[in-house]
Amino acid sequence: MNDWTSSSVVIRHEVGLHARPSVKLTKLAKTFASAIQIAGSPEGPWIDAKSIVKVMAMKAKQDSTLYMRAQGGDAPAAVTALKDLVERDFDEDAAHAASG
Amino acid sequence: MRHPVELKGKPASDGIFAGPVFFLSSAEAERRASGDPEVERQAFDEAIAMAVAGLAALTETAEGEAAEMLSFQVALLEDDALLEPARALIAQGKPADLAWRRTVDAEIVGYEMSDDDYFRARAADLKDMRDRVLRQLSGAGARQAQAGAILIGDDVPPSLFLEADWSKGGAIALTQGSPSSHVAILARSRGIPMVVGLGNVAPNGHAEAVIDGARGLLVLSPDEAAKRDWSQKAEELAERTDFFRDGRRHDTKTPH
Repeated sequence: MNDWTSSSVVIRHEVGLHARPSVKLTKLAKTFASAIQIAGSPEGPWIDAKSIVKVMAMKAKQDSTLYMRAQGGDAPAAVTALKDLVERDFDEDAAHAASG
Repeated sequence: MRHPVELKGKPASDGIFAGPVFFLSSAEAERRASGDPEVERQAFDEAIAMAVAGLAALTETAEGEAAEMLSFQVALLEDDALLEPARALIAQGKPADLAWRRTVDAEIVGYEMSDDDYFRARAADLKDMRDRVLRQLSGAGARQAQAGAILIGDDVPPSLFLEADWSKGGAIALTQGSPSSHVAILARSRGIPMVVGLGNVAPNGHAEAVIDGARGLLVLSPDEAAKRDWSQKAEELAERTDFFRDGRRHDTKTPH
């Protein structure tokens, strides 16, 4: 069994992982070669962070904890990047101002 | 000569518009399945690629909420978690359109069952995406709505609104729909009059109509008197809008 690089982060976004944040998260995950999975609890179920269908199906809400893990050459970088994205609230401030 | 038919629905976007009617048919074009999984698989992959290309072209001119909705649809169409189950059904001998419909509908159920308004509303995005691919498969391509017309249908997907030509004005009248839908938001932002929830609208023989968005009213085949009445109302409305826009009074008594 290979080791996973893991981390967790609290989602602060006002409606949780909705369409726009989910699109950003999956796009970022796809830039890494590693297998990346996320879950709503440390016990799983773990789902593919590169799949918008599966990420949206999690229906992760505001203030819920997002668990993430990656396996592969760039696993540590992938986990750090994903965690940063969630901590930056998906860079939503500018987008909110733009769309009114 | 048709008699006028007045229908009452719910206001979704203010404004008065008179013009020809254009019925959006919900019936999809017939598609003959080849019976060959290899051919069906190829047709499916082509339809997905065409749908992605069409959405990408729309994304270039869209902004804000509309751009978000389109990029969500593109992300879905690029997700193997959605494509693979459909391809598996095709490999089992199912026609491409049936395989796609079954796969996306299973996904839509999950959204519709959500207790969260936001997620429930995304079901419309999935249906829009599903139908775009189905139109590609049936060879119907993109339905280009007539410019400067009152579009009448059960519901209008956001991508069709974005594709339509609004340069000559126009309006939307829906038998179903909601004032809080993506399309209603788009209509308000572009000043396109819109009425929803009209119930059944029988298309038989009506060629023109007037719509009053603020009052939630659609009149099919209005008579000449009614048309004069409406065009006067539309002028008054335009004047009032100008008044508010300019922030000053247009005093008709001002001497020249």
